Amino acid sequence: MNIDEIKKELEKDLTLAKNIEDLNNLKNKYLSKNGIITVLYSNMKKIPKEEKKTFNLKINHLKDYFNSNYEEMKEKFEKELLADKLEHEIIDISLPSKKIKRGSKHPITRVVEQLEDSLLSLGYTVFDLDELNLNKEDEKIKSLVEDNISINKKSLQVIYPLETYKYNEEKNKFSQNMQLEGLVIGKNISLADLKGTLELTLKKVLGIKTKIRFRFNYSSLGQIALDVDVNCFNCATKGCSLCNNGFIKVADAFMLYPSFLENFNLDNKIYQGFRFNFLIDNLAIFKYEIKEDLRLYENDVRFLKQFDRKDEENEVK
Amino acid sequence: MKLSRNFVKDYIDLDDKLSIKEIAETMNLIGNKYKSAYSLIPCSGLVTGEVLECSMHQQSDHLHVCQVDVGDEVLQIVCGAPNVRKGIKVIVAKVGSKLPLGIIGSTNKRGVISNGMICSIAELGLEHRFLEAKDSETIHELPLDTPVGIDPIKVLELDDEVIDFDLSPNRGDLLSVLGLAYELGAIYHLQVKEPLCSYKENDKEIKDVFNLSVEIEDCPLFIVKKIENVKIKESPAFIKNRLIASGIRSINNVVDISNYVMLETGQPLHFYDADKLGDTIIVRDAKEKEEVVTLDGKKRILSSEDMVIANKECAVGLAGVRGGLETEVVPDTKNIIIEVAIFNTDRISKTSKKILSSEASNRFGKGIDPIRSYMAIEHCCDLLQKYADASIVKGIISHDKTSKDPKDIIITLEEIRKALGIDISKEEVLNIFNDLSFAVKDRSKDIIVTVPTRRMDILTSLDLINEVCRIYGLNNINGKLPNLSFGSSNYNKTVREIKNKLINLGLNEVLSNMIVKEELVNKYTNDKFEAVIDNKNTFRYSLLSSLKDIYDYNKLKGNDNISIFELGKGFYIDEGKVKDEQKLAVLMSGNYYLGINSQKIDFYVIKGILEELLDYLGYQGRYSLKNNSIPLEFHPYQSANIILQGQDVGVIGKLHPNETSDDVYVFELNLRKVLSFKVRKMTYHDIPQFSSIKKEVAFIIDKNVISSDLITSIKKADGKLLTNIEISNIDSSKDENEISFQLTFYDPKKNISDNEIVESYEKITSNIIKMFKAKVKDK
Ligand SMILES: [Zn+2]
Repeated sequence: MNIDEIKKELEKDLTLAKNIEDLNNLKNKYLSKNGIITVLYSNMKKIPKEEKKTFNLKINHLKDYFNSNYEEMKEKFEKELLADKLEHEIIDISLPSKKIKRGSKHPITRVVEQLEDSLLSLGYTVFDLDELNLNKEDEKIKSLVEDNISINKKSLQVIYPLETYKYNEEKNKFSQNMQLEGLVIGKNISLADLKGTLELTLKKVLGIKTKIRFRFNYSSLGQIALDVDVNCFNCATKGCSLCNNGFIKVADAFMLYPSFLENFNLDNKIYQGFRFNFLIDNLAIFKYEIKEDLRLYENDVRFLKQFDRKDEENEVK
Repeated sequence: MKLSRNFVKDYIDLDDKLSIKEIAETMNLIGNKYKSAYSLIPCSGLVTGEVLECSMHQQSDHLHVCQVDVGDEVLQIVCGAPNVRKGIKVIVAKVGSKLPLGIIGSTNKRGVISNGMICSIAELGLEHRFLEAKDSETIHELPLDTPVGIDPIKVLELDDEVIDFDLSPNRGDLLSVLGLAYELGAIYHLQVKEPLCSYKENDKEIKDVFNLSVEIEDCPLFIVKKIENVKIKESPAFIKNRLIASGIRSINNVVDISNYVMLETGQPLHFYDADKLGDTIIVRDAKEKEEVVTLDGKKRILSSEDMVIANKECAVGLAGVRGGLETEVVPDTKNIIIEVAIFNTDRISKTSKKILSSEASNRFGKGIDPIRSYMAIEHCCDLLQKYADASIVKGIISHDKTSKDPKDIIITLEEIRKALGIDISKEEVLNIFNDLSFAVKDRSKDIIVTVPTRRMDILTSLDLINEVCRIYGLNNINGKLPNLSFGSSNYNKTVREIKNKLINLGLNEVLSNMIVKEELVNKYTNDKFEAVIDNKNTFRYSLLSSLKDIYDYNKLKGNDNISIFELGKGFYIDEGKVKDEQKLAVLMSGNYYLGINSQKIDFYVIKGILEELLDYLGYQGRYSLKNNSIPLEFHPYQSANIILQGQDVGVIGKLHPNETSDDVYVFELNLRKVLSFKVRKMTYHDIPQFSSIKKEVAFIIDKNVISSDLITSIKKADGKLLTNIEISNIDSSKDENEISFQLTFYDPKKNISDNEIVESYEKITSNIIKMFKAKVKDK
């Protein structure tokens, strides 16, 4: 066979190659130890001297021709092979995921934390009244004020969570309530300051569109006492078992008696203050629309597990 | 206090367009709470009708088929009442009308269509105690001259609405229709019209026929009036119905008038049968063990703390609380002695608490305005003459030590503005006092407010600021924030971080009851302590008693997979004082889900939670588990004390089968103790620069050898290059345990050589073989 015939055969072989295996067989046929092209080189000796140069050139061309075709086709076959492989790896992306379970935070805790965050941003400090180890709340408040009001610092802005319990004769058992109380003492504090503080805090926790109503209340605890209501979500304010004639009370508050401030040697012409008390149970009932108030302290895991996501952010100017 | 809208309209022109709920809410906003606001007759769609024809139902021995003219149509109605007959005027509930028993529909009664219902009074929804037998047994017959097609509730004068108030104890003045009228007047800017009286007196003088002797100081006012020749009969409808709306049953015209005037003025009145009483009243302290039979027929035994009204012979009434049976006004009573008095509020409260409370004692206990006392006498005489044909003896006998001068209080505009934080004008302030019917004198630098005697609750300028605030309206005040410059705000973040950590570990937070059954308080702990008991209620010491309750509850509800925690307080008494300690408890049972795998909860799962938490808090490597003293409620061989730096800080393990038949794992940490240990500063350690080499080794070893001892010995045997030991497998299926370890060797200075590892490995294995009589399993 002369070189031209070999090239013709090679061209034909290449067109017949259908995959990498065929291609490697061809490599074997032409370029292995006994391959057709390799053998051509060994035939060089028999070639007359003056023809050697052109003969060598021709074989090189042939070899290059093979190699370039080989590489090109190999790349093509590999691509096809990969595409084919990927196609066989198709999955049903609509099948359910492998679930990752989250734990949950109790709704009472959630509301307390949100109120705390809102009030912290207004400069309040959170106290733990129980750390004072006193039995009576009034005494605790008194020592809280005494510890924090001094000659240099005559103002105070604190909150403290309170777990209260009271005996319910009707149900013949104790009912537990969570509260977050606050106390503010400072110069020129008025009812408007109290109202603004409650409004801002409640809207941050409940959402800016929440309708908040202030209701005067006679109280022996302080001067100008008030209750704060929101509209019942359950009955369109017609009145139901969750609410009082369509309203749910979520906080109460009062301005401090001047005599309270005198106890701490504060001039009541200059200093004023207020106390407020958020009713966490009712806030949680309203915020999460819990239609059975029993659920709050029942701790059924089917109830608890629903509180496993982040609360929405409520923007308040 | 139940307020009848019709009643209060006598004194104030309330806009008919205002709904009763609107009025109630407006009153509510100014401090007058209410329980409910409702129509006295909760019905709609009723009309008057005339029975044109009435025939027996073919298929029934008691039903009648009636043709009833209701004005715009004639309805066929089947009626079972015994008194239904042709010609009577009746109350008809048309198809679609609402009654307390439901909505009336068109029905088929044994083959005859009935388009509506003829009603009895009972079916209109009045409380049972206001009804007589005939009201439920028979249909109501309206006067024969009643037009057809009009509202029968109006004909009956029962078209009233009621607000049931729940008033503040300091507002005794509001226990009267007049008092509430003044409040409504203040809100709606309306003038209150007090009742006008126009009775005539006869020629007799009371002083000639009656004697009064008040022997005690706690009766500052006592007025006696005599009435003759009363005719006792049924009250007119308006009195009867207003009493019903106010929650009081009608008895007869005379008794009703005493109640009516009490409701109107707030001043309780008492009527004596003058002929039984005699010609003398003595007001005195009761004698020890003195007896009086009150109107309810009960014998009351008194002490000298109580006050009585007596005649010459004996006590005839319990002063301020209840009259006596002996001198009661009865149907044939002719002459009456009226008592109007004021008693010491504290003494009345004491007696009524001890013996019985009444509408009267409730009012006496909160204070009475003496001006109202005189008004009550006047209006009472007026009504008795009008509705009981009474002849009224001239004059009164009175013992009066009361002051009727109104109080003057000085207030400044500045004071009001400062307290409320609003720019209210002087004119607005003056208008508010005017609306409250308080007289004012504007002295430019201040205002003198004259507070009427009825407002006994107003004592100082602070109370006046309250009044301005109430009427101005809290909801009209613009809120702002206090202008205060404070230091940094602060809170204890750790509690939140612990909660978040446990939630990230898949646990659910619970909040449980701090009060536990007394027999539970000593459980789940070996601590010796004195429990806190308040009012027979025991406060928990261990949170686990609460968590176990929650577990049981969930189990009962069919919830099997429970992973819960609580961060709360346990209580005890130390040196006579209540102390509390912050604790953290975890309870797990069933399957635990974290990541994509679920696994049956065992000791090692909960131990993992504990370790993850302690490591997170920064105590890695400083704690261990030791089986020192496990409380009885724990499995003795699957539980341990949690030791942090040598201190017992809690307990972990499986609950004892005596506690529950399920596999329940718990731990409790004394968080206060745990957090009292300082945590090392978190600093960065450089990442390894050389490669480490891992090697597996498996020992066959006696079952009594615990793994932590094995690990300690392995560490000791080498110590230099061995940087990590992990148990990769435990096979305890045979007589001896087979424990596989993965050992990690690392040299921070260079790449480790095979020779060094072989050397280390030999040291470790020979040591373990020697110490524990173990064998190395060939690989
Ligand atoms: Zn409701």
